[in-house]
Amino acid sequence: MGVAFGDADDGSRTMKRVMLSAAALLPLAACGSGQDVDPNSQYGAHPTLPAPHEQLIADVGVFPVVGWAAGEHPTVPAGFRIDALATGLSNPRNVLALPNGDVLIVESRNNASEPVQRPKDPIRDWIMARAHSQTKSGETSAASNRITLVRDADGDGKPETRSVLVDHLNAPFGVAVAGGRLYVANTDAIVAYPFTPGETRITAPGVKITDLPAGPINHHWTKSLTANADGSRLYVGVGSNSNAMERGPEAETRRAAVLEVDPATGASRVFASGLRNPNGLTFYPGTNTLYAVVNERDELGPNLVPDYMTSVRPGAFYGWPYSYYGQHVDPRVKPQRADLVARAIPPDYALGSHVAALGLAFYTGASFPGAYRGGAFVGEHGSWNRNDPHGYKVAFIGFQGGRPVGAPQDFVSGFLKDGKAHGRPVGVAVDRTGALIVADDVGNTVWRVSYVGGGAAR
Amino acid sequence: MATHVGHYPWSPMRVAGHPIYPVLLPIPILCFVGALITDIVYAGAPDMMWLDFSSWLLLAGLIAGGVAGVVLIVEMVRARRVAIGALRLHFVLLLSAWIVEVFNSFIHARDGFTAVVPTGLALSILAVVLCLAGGWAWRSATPMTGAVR
Repeated sequence: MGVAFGDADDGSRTMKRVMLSAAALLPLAACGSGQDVDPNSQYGAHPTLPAPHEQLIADVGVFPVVGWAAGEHPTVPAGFRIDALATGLSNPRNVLALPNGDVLIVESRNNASEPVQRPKDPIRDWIMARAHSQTKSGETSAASNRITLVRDADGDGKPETRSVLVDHLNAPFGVAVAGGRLYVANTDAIVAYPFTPGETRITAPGVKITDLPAGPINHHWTKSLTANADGSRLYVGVGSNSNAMERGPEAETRRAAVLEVDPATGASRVFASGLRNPNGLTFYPGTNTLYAVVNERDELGPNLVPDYMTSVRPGAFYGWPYSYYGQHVDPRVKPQRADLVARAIPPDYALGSHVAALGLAFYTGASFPGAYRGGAFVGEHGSWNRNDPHGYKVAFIGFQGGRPVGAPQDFVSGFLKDGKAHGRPVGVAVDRTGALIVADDVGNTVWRVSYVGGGAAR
Repeated sequence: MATHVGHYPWSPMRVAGHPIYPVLLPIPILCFVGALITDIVYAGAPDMMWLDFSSWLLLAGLIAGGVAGVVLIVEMVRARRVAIGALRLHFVLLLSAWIVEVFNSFIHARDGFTAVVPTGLALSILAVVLCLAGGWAWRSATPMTGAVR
């Protein structure tokens, strides 16, 4: 070989060999998902979990946002109707229905950008920005980071008044009303305002209850929030700062966890951990059982790892980042923690891979048919890490004896049509009349689904 | 002191009288060698910092290698029959290393250990062998380059 390098003719033969060895690498690029799994087997308590398959280039399926034209709306099952409760909003991410019929709409935008750690970061940010792009039907420059209150006093689904309840928030997401206060989970702190349902404008300044893990990275920035029945404790979901701890362990302090906060003192502790991005924190009606929907990790293939809904047990560890669904170890995470993996518990109910569940509400109303009572509505924002989209709908999961049963059903769908995203559902709530309220962030709309009986769907 | 740098068999691209290509050539080679070193360190002690180093070194090497490659193509056109055989070997080895590192960059974009072990490390070794051989072939193409008389 050494001689060959000096010789032109011999060199061209060497050249061919080199070219061939480079060509031998090409199949790496052509490989498919390698995960032939029926997506319908990835629901419920025992989802099929294929072997991890890290592709050369991870599947990316993001869809241009077109918004809703006048008269367009998502689809609902026969017997239900869907109407816009509020339009022209600015990135509505979450909703809270009050006992007096008022609906609080959390409009939120995280303007902070993450520091670039690796060359892939700006590329990923660009892809995510595309999936959230605002359109003409939205209002790109409209003020966000506020809570809008809509009042539908007569319960006919057509609000009479609309006002800004609180403004100038910092990327808020979670919201709860308890003990004469409105608690808002900004991305960096829980803030309390004196509030009695019925008020339409809060003028008093907020009081900080406690800081929450935030910048400078703040990867998963939505902080979900709920209060227990007597308002003595708050529960806040804090998502991880990375996909699979690639920002290092220090960045994950008090993250990928549900924190329990004493609103009287601001003291907090980790209530449960190993939950990559927990959202939709809600107590199961009439119980002390806290539930969450959790976004699991990406880039292990289109059919891994399924997102899930689970009861959140005090002190429990749910695996992230070391493992998923119990003892399925993530090969990317080193050094491993065998002690933590050994006590990782599997979640209750898989929702499907990459559906991006961000909202959860249990049906506590009386106006929907009996099968819906006590069941769960899950707002699935929709996938990016699959060619074939998952999510982009509100799913319904029936409960029996306080446990999820059966397969998820499409309840509100039609957000994605012909490869275009008209909207993407996020937070969900059940209002005083038993109607389902759905926040649609890129559609800049809040929808209301009501039951009208056995007639045709609209 | 009269030094005559660059006794090329052809007339190379020059900036301010000095050949430009020999300045560019070491950059990708050193970046790729550096990425191999940080890969080896990461494989032994997986702290994400080393993977970050590798990722940026690969990107820097690809950019510098792209610039060097364009200049090299110009040199090959200028060299024509004079030294084309050895230059072509040099070019193909470097191009192969560059292509391997493009794939390697995607592997290195994975979120953790599998970004390096085993595929990333294997590709780093292959690319370093190819570009060091390419550097060697450059010396054969320009035996007198840099000689001081």
